[in-house]
Amino acid sequence: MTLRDTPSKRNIPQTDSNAATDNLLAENLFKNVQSVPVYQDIDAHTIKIKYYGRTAESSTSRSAVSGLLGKQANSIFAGAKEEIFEDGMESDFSRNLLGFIVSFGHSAMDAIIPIILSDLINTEVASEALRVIGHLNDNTTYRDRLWLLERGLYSASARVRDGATIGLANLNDPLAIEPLKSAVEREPIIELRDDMKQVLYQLEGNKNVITPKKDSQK
Amino acid sequence: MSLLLRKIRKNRWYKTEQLDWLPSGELPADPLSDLGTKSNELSVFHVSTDESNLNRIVASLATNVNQLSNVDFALFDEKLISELGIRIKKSKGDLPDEQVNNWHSDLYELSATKVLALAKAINDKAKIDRKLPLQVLNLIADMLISGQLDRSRIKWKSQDDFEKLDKLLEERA
Repeated sequence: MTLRDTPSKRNIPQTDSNAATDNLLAENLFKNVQSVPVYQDIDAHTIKIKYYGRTAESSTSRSAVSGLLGKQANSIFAGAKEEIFEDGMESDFSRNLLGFIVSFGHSAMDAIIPIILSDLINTEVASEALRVIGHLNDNTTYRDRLWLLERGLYSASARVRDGATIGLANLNDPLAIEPLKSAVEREPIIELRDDMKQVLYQLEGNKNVITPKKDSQK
Repeated sequence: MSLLLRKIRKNRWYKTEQLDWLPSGELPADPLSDLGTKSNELSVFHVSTDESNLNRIVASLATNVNQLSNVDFALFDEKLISELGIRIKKSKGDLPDEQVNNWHSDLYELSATKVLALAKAINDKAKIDRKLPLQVLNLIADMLISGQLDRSRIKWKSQDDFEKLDKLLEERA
C-alpha cells in the first residue's frame, strides 16, 4: 500500500476565490514575509516578484514565487523535526503552517502537499500537519485540504493515516465517507481501523446536520 | 484501588503495528514522548473502576489546551504502579473543573528505568482509548450545562472553537 497506488491528480476547479488568491499572491508574499523570521532570507527577491506580479504577470514570476513558497514550506517542515507534539497544543510548527496557508492559500497548499505526501518527511511531522490542516477554518483552501486529508489515508505510515483520520474528523464533511470506508477496508492496524470507524460513524451521523463552515462554491 | 489515566497520543502506542526493525519484545522509543517527566514526576488522574468520572476528566483535560482536539488516554490499574515500585502522591491538579483537580496525583521520584518499565506496562496492560473532537465537544457541553465546568477557565485560543461549542449549546437548549 503506497501513495503511488492512488490517483495523483487533483481535480479542483478554479474558483473566484482561487483567482483572487493568485493575483494577490506576490503582494501578500511581500507583506507577510517581513513579520516572520523564518521567511527573511527571501526578502530581497520578493521586491522584484512584487513588481513583476503587478505589471507583467509573467510565468517566470509565478515560477519564482512558487519556488520561494516551496522553499518556505520546506523550511517550516524541516524546523519541526525536533518538536514534540501534544494534542490540542499549539506548536511553532502549527503556528507557522497555519500562517503560511492562510497567507498564501492555494499556492501554499501546492507547496506543502508534495512535502506531506513525500516518503522522506518525518511521519510525526506529516501527521501533525494533517491534524492542523483539518482544524483550520479557511474557506479558500477547503477543497485542497479535504483532498489532501483523503489522500493521507493512503500513506504507508500508520501515523500519517491517523493524522488524516483526525483531520477528517475535524473537517466533519460527509464527502469523506467513501474514502474513509475504503481506508477502513485497507487498514491493517486494528486500533487505527477502529478509530477510522469511529470517525466514519460521526460523519454518517452528521449527514443532515453539517455545521462546519466550508467553501460555498464546492 | 482505582484506575489511573494518563493523557497520551494514541498513534504512538499501536500494538498491532509491525515494525520490522524492532526486536521482539521491545518497545519503540516514541511512546516515551508521552511520559515526559518534570522534576521526575508524572501527572495522572484517578478514574473510578466503573469509569463514571471518566468523561468529566476528559472534558476537563480538553479545556486545558489551546484548541479543541481529540483526547487520547491510557487507562490502567493503580496496582500496576505499586507493582513497579513507583510512588504516588495526591496533589491538586490545575484544570478548569475543581472536582477533577481533586482526582489528580503525581507519580514521583521516577528514574529513567521506572519510566521505561511504566511505558512497557502501559503498552502491555493499559486500555488505550480516544475521544474524537466532536465527542469531546459534547462532553464539554454536558459539563457546562450541568455547571461542573467553569467556561471562563477554558483555555482555547480559537474563536472558531468557542463558536462550535456555542452552536452545540444552542442546539441543546
